[in-house]
Amino acid sequence: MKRKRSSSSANSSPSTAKLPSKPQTAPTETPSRPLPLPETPGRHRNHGVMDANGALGIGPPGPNGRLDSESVRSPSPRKRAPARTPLRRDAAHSVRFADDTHSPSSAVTNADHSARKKSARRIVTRVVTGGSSEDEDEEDELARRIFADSDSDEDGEDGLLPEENEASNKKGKPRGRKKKPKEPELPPETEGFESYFQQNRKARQITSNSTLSSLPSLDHGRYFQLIREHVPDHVEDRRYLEDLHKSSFAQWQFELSQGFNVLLYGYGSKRRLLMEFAKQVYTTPSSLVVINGYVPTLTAKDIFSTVAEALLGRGHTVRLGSNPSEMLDNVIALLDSEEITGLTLMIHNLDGESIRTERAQVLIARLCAHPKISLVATIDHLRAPLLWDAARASQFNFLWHDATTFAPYAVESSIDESLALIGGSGRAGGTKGVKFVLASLPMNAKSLFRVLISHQLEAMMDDPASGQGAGTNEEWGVEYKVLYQKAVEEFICSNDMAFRTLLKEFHDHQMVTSKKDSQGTEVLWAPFKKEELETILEDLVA
Amino acid sequence: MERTSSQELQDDEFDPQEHQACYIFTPEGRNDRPSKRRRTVKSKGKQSEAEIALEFSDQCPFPVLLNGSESEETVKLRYEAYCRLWGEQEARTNAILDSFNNKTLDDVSEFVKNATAESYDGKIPTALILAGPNIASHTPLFEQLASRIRDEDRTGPVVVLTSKDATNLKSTLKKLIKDATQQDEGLDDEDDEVIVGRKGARLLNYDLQILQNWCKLHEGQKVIIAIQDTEAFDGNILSDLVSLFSAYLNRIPFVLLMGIATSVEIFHEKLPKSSIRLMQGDKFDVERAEECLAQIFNDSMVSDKSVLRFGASVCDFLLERYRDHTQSIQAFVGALRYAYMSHFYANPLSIILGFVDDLVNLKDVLTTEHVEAIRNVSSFRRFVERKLADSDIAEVSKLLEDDDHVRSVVAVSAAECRSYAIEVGQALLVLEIARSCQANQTRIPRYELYAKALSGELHGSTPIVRDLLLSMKKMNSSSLLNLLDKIAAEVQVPYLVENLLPLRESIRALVEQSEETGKTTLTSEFNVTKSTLRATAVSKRIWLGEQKSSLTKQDTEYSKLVQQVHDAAEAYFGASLKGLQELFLHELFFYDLISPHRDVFAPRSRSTVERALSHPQDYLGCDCCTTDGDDEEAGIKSTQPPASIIYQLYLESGALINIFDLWSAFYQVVGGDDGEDCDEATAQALFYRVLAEMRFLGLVKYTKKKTDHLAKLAWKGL
Repeated sequence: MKRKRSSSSANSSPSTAKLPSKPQTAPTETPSRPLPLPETPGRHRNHGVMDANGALGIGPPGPNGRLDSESVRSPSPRKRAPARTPLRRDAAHSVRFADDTHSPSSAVTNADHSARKKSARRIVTRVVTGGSSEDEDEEDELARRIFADSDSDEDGEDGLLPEENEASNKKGKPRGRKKKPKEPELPPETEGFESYFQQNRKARQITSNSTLSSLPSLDHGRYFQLIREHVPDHVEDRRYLEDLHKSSFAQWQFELSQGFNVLLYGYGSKRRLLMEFAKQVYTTPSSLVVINGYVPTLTAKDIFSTVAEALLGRGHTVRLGSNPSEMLDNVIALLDSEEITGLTLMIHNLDGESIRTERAQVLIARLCAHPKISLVATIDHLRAPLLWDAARASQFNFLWHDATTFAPYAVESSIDESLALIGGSGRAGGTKGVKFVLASLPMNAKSLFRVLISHQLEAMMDDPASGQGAGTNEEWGVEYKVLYQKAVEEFICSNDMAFRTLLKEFHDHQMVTSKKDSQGTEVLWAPFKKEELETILEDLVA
Repeated sequence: MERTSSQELQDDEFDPQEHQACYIFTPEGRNDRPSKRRRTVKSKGKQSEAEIALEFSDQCPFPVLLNGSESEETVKLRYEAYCRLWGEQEARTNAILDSFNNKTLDDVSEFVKNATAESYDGKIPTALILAGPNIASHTPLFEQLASRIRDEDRTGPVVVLTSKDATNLKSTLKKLIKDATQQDEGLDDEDDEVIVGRKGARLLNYDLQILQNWCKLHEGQKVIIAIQDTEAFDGNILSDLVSLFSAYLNRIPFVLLMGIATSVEIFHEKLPKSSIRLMQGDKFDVERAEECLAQIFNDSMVSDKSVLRFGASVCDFLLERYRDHTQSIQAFVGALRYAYMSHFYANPLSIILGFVDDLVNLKDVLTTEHVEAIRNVSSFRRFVERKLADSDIAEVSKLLEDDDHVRSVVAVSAAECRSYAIEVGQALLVLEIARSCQANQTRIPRYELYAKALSGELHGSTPIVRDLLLSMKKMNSSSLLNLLDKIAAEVQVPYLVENLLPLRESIRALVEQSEETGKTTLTSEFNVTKSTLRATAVSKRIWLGEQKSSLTKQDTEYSKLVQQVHDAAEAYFGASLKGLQELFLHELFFYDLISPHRDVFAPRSRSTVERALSHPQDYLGCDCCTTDGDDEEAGIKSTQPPASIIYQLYLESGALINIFDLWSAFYQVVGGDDGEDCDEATAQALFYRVLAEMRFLGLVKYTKKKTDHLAKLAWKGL
């Protein structure tokens, strides 16, 4: 639709006028873009159209591929951090991004055409029957979008619609070259539900194919060393925040004394803060129980037995029962007895994964509803409040306090998965992990793995291209049958079943990947880099 | 400084307790591990609220206010005032709550006592308990019911089943039998007897035969099965249970209690007709929550007993929250309590509330700092300005300079505030009564009008009052007398007593007179219908004339009296319904700070996290990240915390995020132009840490859709 806004006189036959005008449009657009990308004018312009129109990505692909240009748009600080970003990223990566995606097949294109025809027809009939074009209903909106990728600023000019649509429709020319007068480009929506729909579009989901393999790997030791050496930012300001929270300790304490429970939320680890608070609340021995909800092994039973221990003293002989709800009943009975004055619970991460289940929450809520129990808890997960329905929430009787600290979640969040994922290509904790796994396996399995990687290494050596771009190793993989033969020859296993069992172990630890190639033969390979394979092999034969 | 903090970080990492699931806390340096601690039994008995308060008065939890110049004594007084006033309020509130519950409990326990299969045509006696939509109150309700029936009435064991217990029929029966047979005293000895079947074989633990045997041992006991959340129950299990109960009904005297949060119709739809037919019984409406709220509200806000009341905006906020979100009386009471807490905790002047009944001694308590604080109250300013407008210069200068004068004025004003609140309450009551006497009016409870009255939006000429006054004028004698009687019975307002009672007497006299003539009710001349079918003005006038002339002499006299009643009522409403803005010291008697309540009861935790990440400068207040003015293009700065840099990149990206691209974008921001700001390895470590945090916060998850990609899980600002 943009094209008719440009000026109807100049554009009466849009499709012809457009192509020549392409080069001129680029310069006019550039200044208003916050930050020009060093691209070809064609892609560049196309890109701009994308942004302004929020295309659905259904239209026929243009010669230089709208999708391609879109694929470049993975997260980039381009808009926000001027000057430095573009140079770097495009120099480094645009090669990889470009032309990764192929244009849709012709069937899709035809389908798109017919969708466009339909929508054009629809728009035409609407205008002919004189429906008011000011307010479009949803369907019309959709039709319009399919037709022209435009979802804004088109009201009031609908009078021109029919002939133009028909014209472009008949010619069936590839659209997408649109001359449009420059208007300030809106940055893509980053907030609210609009952004959800925008970002979930097909086109937006296409990302570049780069992987983390080019990143140097980082193991635990190095990671913690680096983090420790790193000088944290905003030390003063964080301390100020923390002091601010500390100044309300007295208030929290008063609130606890009045039968409310306190819940702290906000970004940043609240562990230290809570432990400080614990020191203040602490009065008599065994009056305070700390529960680390982020510990993956925590169960409701642990909580109850610790509470009972706090109430009765260490080494008590009271039998609490075996299942959690029975234990809870007994603990509550203990609390009801008169000699107990009260107990404070501090739960770090009430939304921790180990106690996130409804069952655990029900039990904890029942415990905390007891008047002699005071609870101070923290939550971090964005959707943590959804853990509790009305009944639960009223049992917890929380007063919420914002305790944003900006402290890193050093203890709570587990770095393992990040490291495993990103630690080079290292699955299962990198090569180190592989060594551990191998060490725990029987001789046969070790030999099998040795056979596999030596084969793979051989293939790598033969291929001069190896070593560069460590993308996928499958080209150097070993055929299933070949590997099996080898294994049998070396007396590693005698039948297919045993072979599969051995392989399964490797699969489970992500040490072996397999894929069926185009002929249907299964290819196996270890997803590691050459150097890594070498170290593993060295270890194996040593 | 920076050194120390990273040192701290290090220390943190090696705390062994960090990774212990749960432990008993002992602060560092105090290794008082209690060996075999048997708590020394203090003969404390039942600790009442008051006792705890007493205990606390030694170590007062209230802070010293007025910039630290508040004297210790007044802090303590403030705390005592809180304990006393809230204690009174709480006692009244609890009494109301109990009375509401008790009625239901009485009814249900009566039903259970009388229920036998014979009296219900051999069907299962069933009580449908309509407990209302607030599921938070269901558990306590059923607990109360159970303890009442089991322990007080001793009608038999009560088994409360919730949908969570009932995953399948077998486990449900298991629980049912276990709960029913063990609730009673010493189960162990008779255990064997019960679970042995007829042929001496051990019964399976879900065989109702066990329960039957138990019943044989306990003659005359009923087995009460309470199903707390019928809606959430699996329909098949429920109907199976019902048919089982019905089959055993001749051997086990079952009574069913069904908790229903929605409506009986929905319950009917849930079960097949065949199951419904097996039950017969009664429906018990748990006292309407609205009514309960109204009573508690009237008691805490409108009645003359309460001291601290809500101001208009807090009141609106809480009622809206009640209506739209919680539907929970408990939440409302909690909010009421929190209002008391925050008022007395943070407002040094709240001490005045403690002396409402003892204004003489108030003067001695108020220190110079208190007086100074009073001068800073906004209503003081308005008060002085009003005096100034009246050209009462001497008074103004005294107010500003003479502390003692202020003290005495405060005492007077406190009394005024109190009486104002009472007056408003009474006016609302009168209004409610008067409106209830009119047939066609929809009921508007007092709590709806209260906030309006305080903010001055409800006065003599608002539609509600005007309509009332107009319809009063049109009343015939019997309904007007009825209204006046009711008002006289319910409220003791001097003004109304003085003005309306004589009128009532004369109306009554008039009615008696006319009764002699055979006319029992007198009509007001204002009631003459003006609407007529006649078209022309003349004929209309003639018609009206006819109507008027049909009125008797007594009617005319009555009309005059009606006019007087109307005038008196109008004057009354006009005088007593006015906003509190004019009132000196209204801040103390009407708690109207909305933000504490909103923060603690209706927090926006998600947007708090999002804000912290996207605008860290809002929290950190640092110069390096704060941008002045032009927000739009400011964007991501390398000085911001790594997490917020990545979060902002995350916001811009699509639903799938390539980790490597995210990393390179991050490194471009952090590393500066040539990577001199931060070496790559450190940046990488930070990046990993932030990714782990993002996953921890629930912003992303790893996806297998594509290698090395993250899936976005949260969209900002939803």
